[in-house]
Amino acid sequence: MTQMSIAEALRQAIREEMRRDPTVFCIGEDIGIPGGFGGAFTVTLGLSDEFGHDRILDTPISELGLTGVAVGAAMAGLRPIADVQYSDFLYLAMDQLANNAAKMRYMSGGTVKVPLVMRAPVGATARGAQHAQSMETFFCHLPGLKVVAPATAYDAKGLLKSAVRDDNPVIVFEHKLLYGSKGPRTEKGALSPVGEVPDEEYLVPIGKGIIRRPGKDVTIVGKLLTMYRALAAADILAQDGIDAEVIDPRTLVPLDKELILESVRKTGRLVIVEEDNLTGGWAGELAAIAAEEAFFWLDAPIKRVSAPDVPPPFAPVMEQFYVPSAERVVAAVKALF
Amino acid sequence: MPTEVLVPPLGQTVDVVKLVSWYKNEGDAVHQGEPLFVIETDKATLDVEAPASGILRRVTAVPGDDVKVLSAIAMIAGVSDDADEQRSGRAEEHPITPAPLPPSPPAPDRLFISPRARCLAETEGIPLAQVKPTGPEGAIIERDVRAYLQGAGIGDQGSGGRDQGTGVRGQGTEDGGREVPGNITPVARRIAEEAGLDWRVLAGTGPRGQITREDVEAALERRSRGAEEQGSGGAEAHPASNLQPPTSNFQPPASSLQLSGIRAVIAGRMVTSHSRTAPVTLTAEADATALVELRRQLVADGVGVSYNDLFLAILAKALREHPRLNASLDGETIKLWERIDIGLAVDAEHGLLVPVVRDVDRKGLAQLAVETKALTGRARAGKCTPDELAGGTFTLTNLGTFGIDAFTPIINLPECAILGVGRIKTRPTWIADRVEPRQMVWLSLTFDHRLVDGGPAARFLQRVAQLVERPHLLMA
Repeated sequence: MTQMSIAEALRQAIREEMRRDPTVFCIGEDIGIPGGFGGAFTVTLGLSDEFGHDRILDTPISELGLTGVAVGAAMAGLRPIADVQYSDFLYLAMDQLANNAAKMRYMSGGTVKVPLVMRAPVGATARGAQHAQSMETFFCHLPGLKVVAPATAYDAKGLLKSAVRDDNPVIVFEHKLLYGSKGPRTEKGALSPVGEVPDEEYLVPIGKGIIRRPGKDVTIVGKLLTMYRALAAADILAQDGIDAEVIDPRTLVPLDKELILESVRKTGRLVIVEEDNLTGGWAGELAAIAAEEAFFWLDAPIKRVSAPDVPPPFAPVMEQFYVPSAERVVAAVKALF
Repeated sequence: MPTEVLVPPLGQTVDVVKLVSWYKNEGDAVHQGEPLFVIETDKATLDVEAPASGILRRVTAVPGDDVKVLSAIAMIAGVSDDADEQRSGRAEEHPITPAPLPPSPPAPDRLFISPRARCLAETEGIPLAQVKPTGPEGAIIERDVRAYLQGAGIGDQGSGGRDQGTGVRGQGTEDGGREVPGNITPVARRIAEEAGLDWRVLAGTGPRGQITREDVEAALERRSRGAEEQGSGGAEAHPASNLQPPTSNFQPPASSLQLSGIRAVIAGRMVTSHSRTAPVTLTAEADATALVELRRQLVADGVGVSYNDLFLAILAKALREHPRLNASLDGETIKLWERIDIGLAVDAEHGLLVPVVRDVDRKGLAQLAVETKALTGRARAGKCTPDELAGGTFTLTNLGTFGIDAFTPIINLPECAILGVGRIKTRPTWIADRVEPRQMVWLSLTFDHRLVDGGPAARFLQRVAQLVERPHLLMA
């Protein structure tokens, strides 16, 4: 076992996969330039020393271009790990991701595989409206993509390795406040969870959620940062005698629906915490699933705790208000009792 | 808001009763408090009053059916509830009515219940109007249904579900409507329920009287302290024995007596009387100055009468004139008795005994004095024969010697009525236009409204009071 941050765990996953499989390569902006950060958040730091610039490919600032290269390489049999510096930039690559990566396997009757990994940092971190969005919902809506959102070092490594080996395009969302990036890329107010990562090889299967905290009174679902908000809320609620179960879905597509439904059937209450905007969000999708499939087990209305329907604000105090806090989760839960 | 019409609980052992008849038909207007239907137990028949005013709907039981207590056998729909049905009915009669009806306002009294609670309630067959809501926005949630199940004693004790153990029967709110959630913090509720403590009886010290964790912990502390003094953990030991109604405090009893023997008989009779009669108590104040003087003279002349003897004589005369009070209910028959046999409540060592003085109206005061003295002596010594304790037609109970002014006696079934006599006390009283010290006494008559109405009972009590005030009329 080694204690490491999520950035280190991701780096180790890429290193191991690139050593294991020569078709694996990284492509992105400033991921391997000498004196650079190793991508925006140090994940690829030092990899070009081992694998060289043929396999750690720096590109011009053109997300659509680099994504097109990655999708094409994947269709041709390579296993690219592409990344964008901020997930907000995925909008620039949307045509490649939505119209090509997500659809090729369907359009070719299964003959063309797209084993693409696209990594993208999400979350509001005092960078303003265009560098702070949480983009998961958009990609959950696109059939043909898998979406994972690891919140711990163990899951980050295990899920990224599974993503590399998957024959379908997988979007890996990573949260800026969880990376544990060091040096000049240290994030203000970061949680930077450090976790145990086994020294031996392991994978975290795509499509399996996990109960982070067992409880019997209410199910709180959170992903990435909001999973930690949910855990903090559960601690506060425990002092008030409410025993919350916190679920981290880890994979958003395909969703581990049964884990969540089973929990809701046990607790009778569901609160979903999400950093993205409320309307049309992932939380609403989960609420719909629970309403459709566990309605008769519900003992209270389903509650969403999301960001309000405005862009992420730049002012730090406004941003703190924007991102769901543990206190907001606590208030939402208490209203159900 | 429709109100469920429930078969009332009758005593502790009655589970099923027979529906004898309905006073109203489906669709009739009913008024709260008026007799709605008749049920029959193994001992008596009894009118059940309408729990609300409105229109009788959804009648599910017909005369002759055996119906479970606390089951719903009809609904009383409010006028607003009925509006939809009436509206649709009118629409059929007048299909060309051009003006669209205004949209009905949202029903403010609709029942809010979580899907989970509704499933549980339907599985268990629980009348939702009886469940007290404590959930968010005044909704019924699972714990409320479980609390009701526990309280009604039909709960799945072993299911191990959470939020059990309140031991409290959910009480419907007065209007069957919604109520604010339980005024208790979640942590306080949890602690209380885990400890089997009925938090509903606690006084809250938090904001707006909310029961806080400190309140619950203080109550638990009181309970455990009491248990220690008792030298046993008995109070803690059976939080699950929720079939008993909650006690009003958490102290263990100073000592425990088995509810058996005469105590059990008394308990059974009293609860039966209280739950199966329609008791009404009338009170009247009478000037007993002349009665006090009469007794003084009798005693001075060697006739050792007690006030009870004088009241027996007064009752005998009044009952002869008001035979409806000298009666019993036997099944569906009211029996008016020829003989006047008056029971005399005696505070014996082991409990209440009511030996019966026979043919009171045929005996003079001297004979009554001798007989009652012997009879009450035998009762106190526990030597009464069963015959002496049965077959009364009326009962006299006197708490005056204990300084009690007025009270509400419980009818000695199957008799129709009982007279309670309070203490005779000198009080300033208006006589014409001046105040005089007079010997005043309160008379408390409890009668079974099933057998006799208020008017005749009042006239009887009036006559008793008159005989108290003018005892020479006993000679007339």
